[in-house]
Amino acid sequence: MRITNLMMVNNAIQNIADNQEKLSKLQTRVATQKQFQTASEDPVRASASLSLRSNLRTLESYSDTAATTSNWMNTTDYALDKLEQIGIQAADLILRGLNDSLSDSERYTALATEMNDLINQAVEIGNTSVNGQFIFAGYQVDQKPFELGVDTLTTLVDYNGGSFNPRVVNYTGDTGSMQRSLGPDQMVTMNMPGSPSILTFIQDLITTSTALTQGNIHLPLEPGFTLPTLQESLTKVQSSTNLINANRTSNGARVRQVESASNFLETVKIETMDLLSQKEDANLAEGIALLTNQQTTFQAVLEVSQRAISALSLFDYMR
Amino acid sequence: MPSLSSITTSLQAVLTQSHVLEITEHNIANASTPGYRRQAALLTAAVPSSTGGSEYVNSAGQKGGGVTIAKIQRFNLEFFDGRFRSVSAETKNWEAQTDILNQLEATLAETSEDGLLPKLDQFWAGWQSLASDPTNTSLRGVLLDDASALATAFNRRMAQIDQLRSDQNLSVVSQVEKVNSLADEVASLNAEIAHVLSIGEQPNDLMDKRDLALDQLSELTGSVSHEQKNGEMVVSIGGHVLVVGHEAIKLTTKPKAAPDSGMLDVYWADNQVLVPPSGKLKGTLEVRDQILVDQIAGLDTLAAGVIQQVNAIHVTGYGPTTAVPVPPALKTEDNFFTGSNARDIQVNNALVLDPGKIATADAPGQAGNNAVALQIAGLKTFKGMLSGTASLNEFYNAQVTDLAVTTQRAATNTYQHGLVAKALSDQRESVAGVSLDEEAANMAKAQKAYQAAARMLTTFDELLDLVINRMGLAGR
Repeated sequence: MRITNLMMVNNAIQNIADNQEKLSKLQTRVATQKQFQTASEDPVRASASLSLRSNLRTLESYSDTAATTSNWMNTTDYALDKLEQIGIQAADLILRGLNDSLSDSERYTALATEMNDLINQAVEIGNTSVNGQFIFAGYQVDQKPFELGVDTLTTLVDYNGGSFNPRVVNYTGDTGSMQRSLGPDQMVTMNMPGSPSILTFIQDLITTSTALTQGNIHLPLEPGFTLPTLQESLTKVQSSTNLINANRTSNGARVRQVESASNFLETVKIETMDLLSQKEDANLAEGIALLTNQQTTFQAVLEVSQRAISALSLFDYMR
Repeated sequence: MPSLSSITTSLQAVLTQSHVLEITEHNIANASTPGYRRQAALLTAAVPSSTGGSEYVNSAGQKGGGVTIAKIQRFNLEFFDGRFRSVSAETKNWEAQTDILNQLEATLAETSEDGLLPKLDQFWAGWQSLASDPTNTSLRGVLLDDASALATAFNRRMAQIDQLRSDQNLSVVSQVEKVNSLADEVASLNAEIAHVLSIGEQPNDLMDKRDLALDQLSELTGSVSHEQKNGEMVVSIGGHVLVVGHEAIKLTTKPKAAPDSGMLDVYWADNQVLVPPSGKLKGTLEVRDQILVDQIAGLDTLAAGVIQQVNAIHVTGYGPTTAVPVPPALKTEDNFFTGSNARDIQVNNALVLDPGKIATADAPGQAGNNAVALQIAGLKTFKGMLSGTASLNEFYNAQVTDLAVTTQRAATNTYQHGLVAKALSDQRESVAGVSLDEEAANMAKAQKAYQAAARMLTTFDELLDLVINRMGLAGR
């Protein structure tokens, strides 16, 4: 083939440009530590990386949900535990009250007052909130679910012959069950509505307090009494405490479910990140080795091109 | 026997060799001129004269009459021209596509955090966090921010693609102007070349110029040309004649039919639409009218999917301040998004003014109810696109990958056609290019021949001097 000067120059320019492009690509790869900069450099990996990143963001938001859910449920567990303690104290108190060595007046001053304290505590616990949300209110998280009042329509006679209005508790929440998603198609019920369990529990405590105030102690009913006796309320308090305990157990089971989901999310997150790194991160050792190699090639190209362009021509030798 | 005619022969040789030197000079001067084909003098022996009739030599044959230039040859192979042009037109086609697609990819930046997919994920995550804490008003604000970032991402993409399309439109106009001026140039060169040929001369440099113009024309439009007997070139694009004789047909641009009336199509003078078979113009039109239009359609489908799927669930739900219709009905005034495509998607302003209208519950007056928010967050994995085979995220992922593959193919084709074009161009250069070493040798050859001819001249001069001045002096 006949080679002209222009061809040699053009070839040299082309070779230099090609090598510079390769060099610049490798430099960018090493500098950014990414296998590709735009999707078109490697559409297959880019597509995988896009969907892995998307998965990662989803996992992140499920993780967040798991954290807030677990916070809420741990608070629920703590509150139910305290209610259970109150139930045990109340049963204790009733047993003391059933002791015949006490007079009605002593029962009233010592026991009914203590019982009223327990009622106040139970209501307070029923109104527990997390981040300003009442956890036992069903869907009505923005208002206090339990309100203590006095039943003004009912007037009763106390142990002393005086009259009193019995206490009463109102539940303004509902029975909504709050669902949280910890993964696609994985739902967990986060809350436990205050009705019926806590409401019944508080009502039973009030029944006890009323019986103590009335001096209505043993079965069979003495004349003039219609409400449950202290003796009857013992079974009631014990059974509603058991109900609270059952609720706590079921909450505990769900806490474990959230925890295991949360651990699972964490594991998947790490695996996904690993996979993502395989898809899009540059192998640094390989990148630098290639870069060094390309630099050597480029030097050689420059050397050769310089000779090709400035090659001696016949003119240099003719006189 | 020295004669005056020998001096003429020598003179002729001197003149011819100096002419050859001039041609070498012309070659060297144009060694790097684009489109220049090297020239060479075809030397031939001059018409011999008969020696018959001489009184001393009888019919010895004919005596040579020296040297003369038969023709100044131009090194060109039309076969190479045609092949080179068709490949270089294809290269330019892909190159144009690659350029525009690279711009598109850079502006969309889908693999960065600024991509549409991260924005979409952010939006779903916004719903997911609101679902985990539906009474938290700041999460409503966050969701609104995420949603409007998503809407803006759609709007911005459309604006950028529109901008890119109108840039290509301008490029089409300027390419058409260039085609027109090149066609005019070819037509007027046709006229000159035919004239020069008709008086028996060789218009080498004009042909170089015309070939260069034809190269550029085919790079733009994929035009083909063939030479007629009188030396004129007929140029045609896709079977339609562009230049014939010294007439060039003018191309015009006219707006497309509505709604795409901002874009211009290229028309022949007889009102037919020009469809370039190859070349930069083809690449530009293809990207402008197909690839970018497909992108717009994809974005519109995605935006419509987001709007419809989110709204369909949202109107069934209730936020703390949602007006409860009596009797119960879908609350279309509480759509989450307004608009119907990527261009006009917006977050409903009523929700921006009152974030309490963002629906999270499936029944009124239940602050902790998150059923609707959960359902919307679940749309992330809901396969509602491509007749139920893909989620919104997967749909757009596929579109991004498609574009990436298209861009990659364009770049690969540019590179590969470029290699072929380079090889063909080398072949052409190998025949037609100027080699300085060769010219140096030619120069030396002509110089030596010149010197020798001059020496001959001197020799005959001396011989004649002898005859004229020194002979017959006896007895003076």
